[in-house]
Amino acid sequence: MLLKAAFILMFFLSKTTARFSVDIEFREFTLPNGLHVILHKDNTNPVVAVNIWYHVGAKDEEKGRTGVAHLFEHMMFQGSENVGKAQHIEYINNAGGTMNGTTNLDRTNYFQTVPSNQLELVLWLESDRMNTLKVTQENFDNQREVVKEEKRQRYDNMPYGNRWIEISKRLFINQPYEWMPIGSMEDLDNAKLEYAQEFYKKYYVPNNAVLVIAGDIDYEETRKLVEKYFGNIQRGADIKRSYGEIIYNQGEIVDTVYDNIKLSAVYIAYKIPGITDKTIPSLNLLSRILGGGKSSRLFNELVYRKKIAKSVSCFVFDNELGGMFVISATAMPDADIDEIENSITSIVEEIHTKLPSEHELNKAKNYVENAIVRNMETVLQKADNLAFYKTFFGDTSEINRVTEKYHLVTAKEISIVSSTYLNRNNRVVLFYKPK
Amino acid sequence: MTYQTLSQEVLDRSKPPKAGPPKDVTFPEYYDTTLPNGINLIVITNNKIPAVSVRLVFKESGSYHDGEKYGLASVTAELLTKGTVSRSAEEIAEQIDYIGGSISSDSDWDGTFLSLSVLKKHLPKGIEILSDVLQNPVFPEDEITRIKEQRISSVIQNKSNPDYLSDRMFSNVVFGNHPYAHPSEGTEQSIKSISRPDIINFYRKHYKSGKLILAFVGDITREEALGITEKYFSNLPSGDENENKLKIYLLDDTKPNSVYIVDKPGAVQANTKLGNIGVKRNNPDYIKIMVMNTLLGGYFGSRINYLLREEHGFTYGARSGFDSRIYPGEFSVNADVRTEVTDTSVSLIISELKRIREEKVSEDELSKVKNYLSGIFPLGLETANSVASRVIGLKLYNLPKDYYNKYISEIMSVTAEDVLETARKYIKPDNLAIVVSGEAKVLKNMLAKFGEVKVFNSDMKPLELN
Repeated sequence: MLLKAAFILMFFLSKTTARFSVDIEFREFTLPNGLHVILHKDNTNPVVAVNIWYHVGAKDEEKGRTGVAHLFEHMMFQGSENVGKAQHIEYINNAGGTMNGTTNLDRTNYFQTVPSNQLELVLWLESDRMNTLKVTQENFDNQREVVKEEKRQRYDNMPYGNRWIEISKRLFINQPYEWMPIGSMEDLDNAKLEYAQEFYKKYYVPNNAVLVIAGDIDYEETRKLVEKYFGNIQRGADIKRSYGEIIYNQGEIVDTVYDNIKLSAVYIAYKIPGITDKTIPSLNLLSRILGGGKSSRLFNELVYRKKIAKSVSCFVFDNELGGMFVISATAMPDADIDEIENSITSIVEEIHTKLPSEHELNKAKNYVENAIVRNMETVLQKADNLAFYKTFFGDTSEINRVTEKYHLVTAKEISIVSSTYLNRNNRVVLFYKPK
Repeated sequence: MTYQTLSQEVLDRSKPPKAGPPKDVTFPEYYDTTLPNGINLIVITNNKIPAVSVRLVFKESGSYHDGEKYGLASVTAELLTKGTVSRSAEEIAEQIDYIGGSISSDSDWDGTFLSLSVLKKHLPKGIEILSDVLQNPVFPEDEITRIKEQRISSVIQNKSNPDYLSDRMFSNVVFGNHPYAHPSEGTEQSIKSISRPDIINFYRKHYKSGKLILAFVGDITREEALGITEKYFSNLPSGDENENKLKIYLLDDTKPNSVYIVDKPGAVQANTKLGNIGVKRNNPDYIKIMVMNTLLGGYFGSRINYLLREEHGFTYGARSGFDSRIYPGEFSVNADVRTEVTDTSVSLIISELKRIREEKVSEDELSKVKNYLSGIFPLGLETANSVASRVIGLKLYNLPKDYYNKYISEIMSVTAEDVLETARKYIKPDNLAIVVSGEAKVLKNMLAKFGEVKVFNSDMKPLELN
């Protein structure tokens, strides 16, 4: 009875607000060796995405071995028993496909999109490197140099390029997430081949991976192909994970970095809970209310009215165990960066006690709805989302509940998360000033 | 390694599996018509997601037409959303944000671009705002001042960015007096010189129906698009696309190799960009050029990237490319390398530029590139917007309507002789502008072997080193 009433109410709502919800159909199974497989069929284009997530990232590194997870990602393209150096990429390109890999703090993913008649090739390649990667000293040394150049290009030689490194080492001091995946130059220089071999043995096992195949496929045939290529790969030892505790309200840290830049900037990072926490939707909506778009509170005050900031942005950087809520602003040439920081802080603190309006909240929800829809357009995007929910929530069907979670957030909850996490005791304020 | 499957077949992992039969790749059908007022209306229907984009392009109305006021086209475009007869800038931002959508407007060399992106259910409101900002902008004085201040601060900020410094220097030396020599977002000086009458004149001269490509993309039918066009876009002034054609500039691409260093004290890498003038987008050799360039430096497995990254570990990535526009744009090879190997990297790149002009490529290497380029084509047709970008490109660059129907067969028909001939025609290893932004005191002597060396500061002014 209760169910029926709810159904009628939802029908009524959908007539008036035409609320969108994600409805991604998928099938999933786990092989005896622990590999979890998710299939999603979408035959609208003759392409297929294969995306494999290994549940390992920079937070699994030891101090003194920073950067190993990412350096190892590079090694995954350097050859395996039946595939030569850089041949993985060559095979994929020759098949008319594109590919890449990324390493973040919690996971490493490898993905390729290919014409759908080339699916088996990708499974052959992915299974070969999961099964029999060849890590040689020569290739290791070569990729160490490539990664050092990556660090120089994207971090050290880039204006404000080290901001995330500088923020993390303060906000997460002696906790998980203290360093970024790129690692330190010193640790990269000292990295040994054995680190990569140990990493491979421990983490690159079927029981630590989620394989998603999305696109122009047949469910039964694809299942058979997955069993053919991955079925006999040996299960690895169970991974014991133990991480330090994330400490909230550790006291405000204020610091300044002098960089090769022309305009000053400020980064304010508050510590927030992990990805699966129920406050994450509220925090994401709060970030829109504060700093999303050209009608947000921070933009209106700092950029538009006071003209002291050139730009301002606000977003949630979420991780498995705990993340950060970041507000950043770049100063206009003659502006006072302290005034910018003071204005940001008072705008943030205003929302602790004064609820946002329904209009503001709906605006934020409409933005999120649009963003979710746009983020589920290609088969690769869908594959990445499916892997995300399985890896972190342990439940793939979470993908179809995400919009509802956002719709249910109230103005009261926005104020509560803001007063709980966005306070001075729980933040790092980092100024960037010209050298 | 072998594997017993249930059917007792033995899995041989030593050889790659064979591909299944290829599926037909056809370029999606779309509606394409020219309305009586000259608007070229395009409708690309695809209801995979409940979203619509509306994309407008005014042809030959971009930065190429800035005159001496570099950045004028782009500033004019940005100001469209900063006030209309009935809406203030804040109201426009508020209303478009409220429906979770976005309106963007900007110019590049070839045109001025506006686009609306919304969920289908918000399309009526989105269209109403879009048509208002397009047809009733008022260019308020205080918003002009604000945008100019913002722009100038962006230019100042960019001077610490190595890519920006190399791009600026490269355009300066390669394009000389041509409009492409100047940044389309403007310089500090040029932005200061832009006045409200300049903006209004630019708007009146270029925002005309005869130059407009109007594309409806996504979850929308032809009938809906026609109805919207008639209701919201029928009041644009007419005027044809040829009325503002500028003279064609002659460019000098015969200068001997020369080195231009932009000093960036404290830099830990050398941002290297070397090349010359390239080709226009509708060059009849374009597909051959694309195949040749991809092999040379256009994808991961290319000669230049493999050599510099996978063999030497000098860089995170090296790429070559032709930036093709309505008029010939640039050809360049780009790599960020650690400072101490800058000269070696430049030598290796130049030797590859020479090699592709001297040796015929092997069939094996050529077929890999052709397979890659033809194979990734359907990947680029997955979203309505990626299809739209290609269709708009056909219009903007005056390419034949069946261009993408013949695309794959044209790629597959490129021969090793074509690659050699195209390289000889378009790659000029003895007439290179070699631009490096980095630590000049180290680079200056190191690069002298490649030609005359000139050093500049981040304002592109000549610099004397002590």
